[in-house]
Amino acid sequence: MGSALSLTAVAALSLSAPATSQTLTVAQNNGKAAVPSLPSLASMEQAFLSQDYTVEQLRRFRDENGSVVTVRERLEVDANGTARPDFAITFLGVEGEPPGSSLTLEWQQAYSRHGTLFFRHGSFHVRDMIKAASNYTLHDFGQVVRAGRVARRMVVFPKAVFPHTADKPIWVIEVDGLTSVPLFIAEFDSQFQMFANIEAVSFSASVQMTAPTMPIGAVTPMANFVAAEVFLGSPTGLINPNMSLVQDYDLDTVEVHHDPINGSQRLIMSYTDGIDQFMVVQAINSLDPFAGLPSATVGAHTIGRFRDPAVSALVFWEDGVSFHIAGRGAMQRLDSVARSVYLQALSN
Amino acid sequence: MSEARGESSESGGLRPVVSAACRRALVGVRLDGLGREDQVEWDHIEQCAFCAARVRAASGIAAFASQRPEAPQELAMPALLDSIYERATEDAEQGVLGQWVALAGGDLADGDLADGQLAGRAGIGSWQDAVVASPAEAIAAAELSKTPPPPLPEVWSGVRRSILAGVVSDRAKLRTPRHWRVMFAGAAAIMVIGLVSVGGLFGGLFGSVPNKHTLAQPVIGFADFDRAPDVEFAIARYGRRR
Repeated sequence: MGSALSLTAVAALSLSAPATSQTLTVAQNNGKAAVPSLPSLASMEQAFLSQDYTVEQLRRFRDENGSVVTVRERLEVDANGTARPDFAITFLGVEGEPPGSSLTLEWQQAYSRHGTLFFRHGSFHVRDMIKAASNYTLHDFGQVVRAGRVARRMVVFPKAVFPHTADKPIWVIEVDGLTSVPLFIAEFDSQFQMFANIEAVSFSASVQMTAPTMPIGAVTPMANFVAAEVFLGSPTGLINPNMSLVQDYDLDTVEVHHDPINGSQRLIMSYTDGIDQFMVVQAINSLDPFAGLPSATVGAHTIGRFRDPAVSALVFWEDGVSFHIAGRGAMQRLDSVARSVYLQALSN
Repeated sequence: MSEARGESSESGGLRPVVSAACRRALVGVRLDGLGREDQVEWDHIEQCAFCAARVRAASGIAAFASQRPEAPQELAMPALLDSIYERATEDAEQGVLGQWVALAGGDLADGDLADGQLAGRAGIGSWQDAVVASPAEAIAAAELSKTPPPPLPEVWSGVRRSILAGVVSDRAKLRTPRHWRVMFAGAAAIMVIGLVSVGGLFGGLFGSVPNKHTLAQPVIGFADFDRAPDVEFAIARYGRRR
């Protein structure tokens, strides 16, 4: 709890600290000083599609026990006009930990295995500008300086209406005035409890990336569920989740992940309201994790559920497929989503 | 020999398939024997297979057609005849003729006839009474009873085409719904048989044991974990795993 409070304090300080002592950088464009414009959801989406940059930043994780770990990383992004830019994320160290410590080595390994997840699912992105504009409002809180850059502090506030007024995130971001790349990201819930924080310490609007970070397994983007089903050989038990009842969220990405270590294959479908995400993962040819439970012997249908303020995760198994549905902790409607998907799997 | 039939087949549309030459030839053929009023026509019959067949058929039924069939005894009963008359009268009243008469009566009552003569139709016992009730009605009766002038040939031709078109369209209407009706009935029968078969199959295989193919809603419960499973979203949140 104390760690959580300290994390909140860090965020509050970073939001309020003046940056007059920093050296401001104004990009030059054909000899003329570019004038920073007010960022918008559209400009942030465009930056994600087309802006190259290199940033060194501090990413703060909070584990299930509430402990906070600050990891320094370097992120290089080589935009390619798509929502899947080439990028390299490099682990630089754990703040306050000597190089070579066990904690440092653990985090280095975590970055090697899950670095792509940190960039793609652990950061602020405008994934769908139209949906983002319909589900969030953008509020300007003035000019700040972050990582030596002139930036605008913005609050992305949900438009959610009852009964979903409390299950949407609130974002405080500081957006580079010239490139619209976020230099500071803090994610809060409706109780203003912070769950994610990324703070840039240096920024360059260019990239010299030698080798993009690749996921440890093969990741194959798919156009839709049907393409993924065919790609996987139409295994039994795989379903196309009916998410028409999930208000505000639509299908965003479909990917097939192949783990080279155990040969497992998973279909990962991400749904977004424009900014926030939740995922439906189907691991084919998997064993029933509840097979040994007494309830399994009487034919009961059980969904395993984990929920804390940061994560909601629901797990069940049917017909050789292990289903994982996960999203933000406050998103309690994922319970009904999981129940609906389970019923769909049972009737498949 | 098939020349005449060839001519008739070329005449499409609503015209009869019998050619004019065949019609001329067959006019002289009587059911009570083969009349030889016109030798030219007989020559045509000998050369035309279609007409020859008609003549042979006519000779076959000539014996039956020459005798008047005896009416059944029931038809001679007064009660049956009365019921036939009543049925014909009702049909006429409910048909186009009855509507026309009703409209004509209304016009007369409202316009030409004096009040009380038709007495709002209440004092009239029959149509004949109404007709003879006044000179105006006598004029109307005379108009109704006189022989109408023959229609113009082009008008009659138009009426004939209209009647034939109606007959053809009625046939088409009858044919199409019957076709769809048969298909629909067949599809419904197949569906019912399929449902019965599937129901019987599952009923026979599984009896009354609930399974995922039954319509009963499964009961789904939740079991809470004390730690997050290894899912991508949790990894993105928490970073490393313990």
